[in-house]
Amino acid sequence: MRADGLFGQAVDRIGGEPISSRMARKAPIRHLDPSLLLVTLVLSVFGAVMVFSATASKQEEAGLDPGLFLKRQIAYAVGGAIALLVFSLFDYRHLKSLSVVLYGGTVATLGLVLTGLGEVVGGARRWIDFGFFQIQPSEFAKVAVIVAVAAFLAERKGDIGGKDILATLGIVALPAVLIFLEPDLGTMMVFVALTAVLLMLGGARLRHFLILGAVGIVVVIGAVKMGVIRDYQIERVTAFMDPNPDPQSEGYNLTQSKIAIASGGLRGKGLQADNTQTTLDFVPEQQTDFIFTAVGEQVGFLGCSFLLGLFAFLIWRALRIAMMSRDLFGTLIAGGIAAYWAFQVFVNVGMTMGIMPITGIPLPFISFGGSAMLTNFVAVALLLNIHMRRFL
Amino acid sequence: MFFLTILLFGGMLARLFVLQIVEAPEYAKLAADQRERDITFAARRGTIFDRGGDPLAISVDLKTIFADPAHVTDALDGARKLAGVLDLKESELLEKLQGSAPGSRFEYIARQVSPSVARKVRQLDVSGVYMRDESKRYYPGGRLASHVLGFVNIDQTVRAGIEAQYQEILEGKPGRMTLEQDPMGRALPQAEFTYEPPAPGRSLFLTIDKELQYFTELTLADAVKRYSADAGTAIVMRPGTGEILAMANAPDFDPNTYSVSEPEAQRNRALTDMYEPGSAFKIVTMAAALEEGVVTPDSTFTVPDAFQYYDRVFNDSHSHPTETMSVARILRDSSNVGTIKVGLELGADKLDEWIKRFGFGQETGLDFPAEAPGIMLPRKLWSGTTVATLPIGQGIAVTPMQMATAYATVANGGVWVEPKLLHSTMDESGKMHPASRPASRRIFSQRTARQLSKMLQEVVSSGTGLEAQVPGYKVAGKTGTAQKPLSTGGYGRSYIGSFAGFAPVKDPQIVVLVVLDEPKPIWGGATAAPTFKTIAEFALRYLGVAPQGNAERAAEVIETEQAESLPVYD
Repeated sequence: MRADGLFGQAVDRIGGEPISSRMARKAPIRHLDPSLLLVTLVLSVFGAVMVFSATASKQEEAGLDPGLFLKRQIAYAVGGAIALLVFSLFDYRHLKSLSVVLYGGTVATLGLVLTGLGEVVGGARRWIDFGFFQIQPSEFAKVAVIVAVAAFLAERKGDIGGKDILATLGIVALPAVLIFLEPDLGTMMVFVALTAVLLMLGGARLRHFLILGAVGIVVVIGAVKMGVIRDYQIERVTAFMDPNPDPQSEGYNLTQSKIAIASGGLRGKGLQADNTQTTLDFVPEQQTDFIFTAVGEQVGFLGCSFLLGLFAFLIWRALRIAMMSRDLFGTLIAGGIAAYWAFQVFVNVGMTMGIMPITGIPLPFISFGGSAMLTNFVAVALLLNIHMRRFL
Repeated sequence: MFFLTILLFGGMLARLFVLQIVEAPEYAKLAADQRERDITFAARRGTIFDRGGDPLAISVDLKTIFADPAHVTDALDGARKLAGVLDLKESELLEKLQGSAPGSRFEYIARQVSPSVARKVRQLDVSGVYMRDESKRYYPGGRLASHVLGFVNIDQTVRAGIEAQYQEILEGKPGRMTLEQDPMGRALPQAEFTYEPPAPGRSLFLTIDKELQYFTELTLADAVKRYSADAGTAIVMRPGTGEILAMANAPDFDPNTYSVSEPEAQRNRALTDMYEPGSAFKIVTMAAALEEGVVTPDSTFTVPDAFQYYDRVFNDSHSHPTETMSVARILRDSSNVGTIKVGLELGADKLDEWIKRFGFGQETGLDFPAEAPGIMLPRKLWSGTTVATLPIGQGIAVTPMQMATAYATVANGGVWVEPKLLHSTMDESGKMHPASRPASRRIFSQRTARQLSKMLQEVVSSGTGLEAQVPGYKVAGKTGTAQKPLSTGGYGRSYIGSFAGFAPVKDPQIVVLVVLDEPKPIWGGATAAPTFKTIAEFALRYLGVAPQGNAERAAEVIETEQAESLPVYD
């Protein structure tokens, strides 16, 4: 095996077996990133606690099981742990060949959502109902697209031209358009962010981005003009940029969301404190997209800072793995995952504080939801996988 | 990538800091606003008594039934049950129980129902239906003193009369409850909760005397009917204190059912309606001329029965040959020509000054809402004839209250006293607080008042006011018969007849004014004067004023009778 880098060469010169060979002989588990596992665990527990805290009193009042959401969230996390095990056992490089299957399956499922099989909730068709549970294919699609694009770009070995970029856009566009049709503008935006980061890591030049940016603007303007993007979607995306927001018009959700977070102050009101914005159900859908409001109110600035710290650490680990990966495929996957998380955290947290538009993007590991949880655990598994096998 | 991540997280932290640390108090207030709900309970309104302590307006505690649609579990069943007890349609009740608007949390079912109905509703125990105390205003005397009392609507937002004037005293302090509520409007059990109980309103004692008021109303109503008048006003007041003992208007209304009465009938004409006073106004001219020393009661004028001044010919009401008349006789026979001559002696500027001094052209200051100031032409707008019309009470509009106050001034020896309706208030502990003393000012001398009183007494004893005589008392007063001005300008063929006077002349105890709108016959002396007599006679006896004038003659009669019955001894 090769002995890369100055350190490897140094070790080689000293004599004996090259260090990389010695490493490689050990089982991949020896090269585990335990801090990544730990932060995943802490985030999941944090999330479960917040989901419980945001739902228990409302459930109780409605005469339902106060622990219902907690139990489900734990079940999702357990499922996620199993998926984590599965996706870290085999060498991630096998995904290169599997990516076509993965991608094809995802696109097919997204197509199914748009047919009669899709469950309509709040005017959008985003779920497939399997009776005892529902899945949201657009969540899985995020990782599937990362893997597919990574596989494609890794083949190009960092030397890509216009054609390759167009091909990449094509790979992303198919699922993205299906998601846009659900409609789920927020998730589609995640794909745009992902693609940009993957192209950058894959070797795209500045000029490529300039051209893409220009084309992007034209496409968006065209879409608006042609009415593909609806008025309410534009309004929702632009409302937060209004320099003089009118509390009446900026929407009930945002006002309640800001009140909840602001009321947390430095230390927060404590979990399950009586008569808070959270326990009184002032913020709708609080266990899912607006979970951060419960965090803000109950654990305050200190708790929020801790949570953001956890995310920062998670993303730093992902970026570090991207740099440590022994191949471009791993780098692209890890970088894509880092971008996926960073974008989701920023957009989700930002929208609850009025600095980003309100979209249906969940907060990784914290928001209640099985599909997202599973996807996030798979992402962690891929990172661990890449990290463990960085010497092989 | 690292750089971008740091930027994103830095941005989020900064925003968090601003929101949770810097702007937190602002949002805390916003949160409190949306969670706190104020509920007010009207306090029990104070009672209005007459001067003797008889209640004229009282508040009775009744139950008001309301629903919270969010708490109603079975609207259909509830509506059916309630319809059996309340006098309401089932469909109507159903709409209220379901909420007339989406998200409605409060619907009145029935307001101010009797305790027996409330008990029945309570027994029904319909979910989401509640009740609370709400007092109902009740006027036990019905139409009695309706214009003085006014009325108040169920929410105490529409008010008139004394009810409006003394709202602050009567209303009390509404009770207040602040409770925190969730987004559905439900009260929170462990939330902060404040409760201020309502403080009942204070009670009032009016200067009105219930008996006198009643009699005055009856007499006025009778006069309006008897003389086929359109409307009428009568005021009885004490000259010394300005206290109004009775204030009656016809037509009247029942404040218990004010909403179904004509607005015409609700008006307190004594204060809101202006009329040309005509001859009754001549006391102003006379008082001014006497006080200014321009004339004495015995000064004489040559008085024809027609007199041209400027571009207008003035006539006396009855034709007579040109003769020499004393000032006293001019007033006694109510000669227009004579009075104009006195007025011309006085001059325009003095006339203007004196009319104002009497308080015409401005509110009397009576404690009552919406008092009209009358119309007094500013001096610089006077036409050539104004100086001749004003002395005989034309070209000026006054309210009955102003007129009564002017006569009270004469009765009061030249001191103008602000009229008043409030006698005293009673606080929560039952302690009485007399109303503040009314403003007063001397506007002419006692001597002038005496001279004028004597002249006015002659009007009643041998002039145009014969019908106003009250047996046993010496009465001073003046008639007035004035054409009603048309809205188009000029005068029509309808008249206002009035009589104002006081008694006993030596020590006046009452001032009475009667104004009849379009009586038949038109003459104040023939219509308002006898009405005055009836009211004044009752008032004097009722107030226990000793008869004077004819007492000597009465004694003579008794002596004669005794003499006749005595055995004759030779």
